[in-house]
Amino acid sequence: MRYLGRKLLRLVLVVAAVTTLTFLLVALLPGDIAYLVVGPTATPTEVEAVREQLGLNRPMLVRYGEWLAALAQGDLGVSLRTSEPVGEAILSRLPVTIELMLLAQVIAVALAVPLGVLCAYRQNRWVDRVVTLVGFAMISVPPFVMALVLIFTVSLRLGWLPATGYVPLSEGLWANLRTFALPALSIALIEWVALMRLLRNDMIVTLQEDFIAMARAKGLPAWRILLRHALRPSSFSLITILGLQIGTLIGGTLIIESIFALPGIGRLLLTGIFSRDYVVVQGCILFIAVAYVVINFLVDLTYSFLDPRIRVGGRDG
Amino acid sequence: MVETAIENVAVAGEAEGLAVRRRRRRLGLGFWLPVAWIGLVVFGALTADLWPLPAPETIDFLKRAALPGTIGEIELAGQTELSEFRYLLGTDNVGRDILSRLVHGARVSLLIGLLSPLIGLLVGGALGVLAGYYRGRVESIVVASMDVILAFPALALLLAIAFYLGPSLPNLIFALGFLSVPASARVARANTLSLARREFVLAAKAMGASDLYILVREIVPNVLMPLLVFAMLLVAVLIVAEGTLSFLGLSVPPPTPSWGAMIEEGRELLDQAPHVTLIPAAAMCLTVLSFNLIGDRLRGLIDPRESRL
Repeated sequence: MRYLGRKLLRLVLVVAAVTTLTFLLVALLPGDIAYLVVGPTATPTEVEAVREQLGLNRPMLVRYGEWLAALAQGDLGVSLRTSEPVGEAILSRLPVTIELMLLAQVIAVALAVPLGVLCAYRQNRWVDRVVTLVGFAMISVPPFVMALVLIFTVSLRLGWLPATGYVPLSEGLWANLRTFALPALSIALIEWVALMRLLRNDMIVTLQEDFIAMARAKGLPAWRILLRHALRPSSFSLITILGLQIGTLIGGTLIIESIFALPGIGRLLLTGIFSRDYVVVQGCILFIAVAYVVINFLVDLTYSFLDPRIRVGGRDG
Repeated sequence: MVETAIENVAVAGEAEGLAVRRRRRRLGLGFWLPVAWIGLVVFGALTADLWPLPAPETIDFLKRAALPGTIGEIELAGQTELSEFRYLLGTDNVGRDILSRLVHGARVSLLIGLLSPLIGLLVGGALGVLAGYYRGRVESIVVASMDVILAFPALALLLAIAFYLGPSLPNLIFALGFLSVPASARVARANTLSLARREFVLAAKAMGASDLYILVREIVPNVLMPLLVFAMLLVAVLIVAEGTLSFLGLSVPPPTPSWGAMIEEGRELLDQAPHVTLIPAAAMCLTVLSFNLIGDRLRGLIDPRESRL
């Protein structure tokens, strides 16, 4: 319980710090947010009008207080360009981002587990070497390059899948999945490497345990030993990383959404950046950061409930 | 009895020497090829202006998205008359020489990819070493503030900085350097923690050495190598980050060529002229892969020695 309390306190502190930082990014700007909003060609009177309209003349602390108060009621402000409430805009785009992340994770795990097991079993043999080398090459490909290569090969040359576009789930699962396949693959083909390496290394350690030798001595077939005896005790850190990666993925989906024209949070943020809509930018960054912190907290928590050693031992874990 | 023991030791020593030699030989191609590629990129970036190439902004209106090897007529750098020129890597959508843009674009990638980690390593390394050595309150503050920065998804924070500060080379170097501080601090702290407990630090303390002396002469030299390995991976990550930003149009402003922007510019002609996109993409991937491979080999080199101590 004391562990939980400490973790909760830290969560609250980090969320508070993240919130303040998000606000300060706007407030402590060298230059003027009003200039940024109206654009470089604006006259001084126009800038003054915008400043008045957005309430930027008032002291920073007052603005911070008001912003926090609104935030507490779930109000992230209203978009400067579309007058859409930012909170609603984010929520309406959330399912797309979540679906993309989940699909990417599923594909990554589907690649990582069999290959990780295979590499551990055939440690330092040619299969292991080849997979490691391929993994190294793939992890060196930037996500946006992976996306373009996939578009080029799978949709432009082979014509199997659409290059961009979005079909909502309500118009049929198959059509929906077809539009998500390439974006999810562009993320998964990079993410699987880390998962595979992790599983491989943990599995190599497990395979040296006595109970594996015992299972071997009993004459069990290799696949049974690997899948039934060795996989579960080896997959612990894989599961943790899987959870933690969800946080990282939120950032990773940004660019993929914009390339494939998926209406997710990343695209909302980028549109906000290009239309100099700082309310949207602020809202999205705050949402992403808080989601990231909370997800990491939850993963941490689940992990510590699964493994009592963490609760007792790790002070900074 | 004794003789066989000595013989055993000798054999073991020989085997060890052999193993070391074999390991060194295995460092071979997987290490030197990446080094050679990076050397080539650095050389290209440094001497970009000296090559008999058209300037990266020079446009050949007649040869748009030309295939590699096409011959066109264009002003070369430093000349005023048109002369015949073979586009070794073709031209982009507007008709600019891809090779020339590639070597000039390498400057942006390398400048950001090398200077930002330097900031991160200096600041983060110092913070990490101090936190790991002094523990207590210093450590709590450093770790907590690093956690807050790490709590932001890096790309979102990067976009925020690029958005608010405006995209320019110094801003980007600063932003990416800032982002690489927490991870560097972690590496430095973790290494310092284990070093601070080692015998030679204890010995220095027992000799009455000051903290400053111990930090500078005992700890820092030993943290340097793991940090260097980490730096290689950091460079790879930051080149990708810069590429992502310039792909989004949030890196150095347009007339300056950069790899990410070149990849983005080729996108509209991906079907008809894939080489416009794929050539800079390949250059970026190879560079990132090279830094990853070098980092991995270096780690393999220092880890066994570390564990044997």
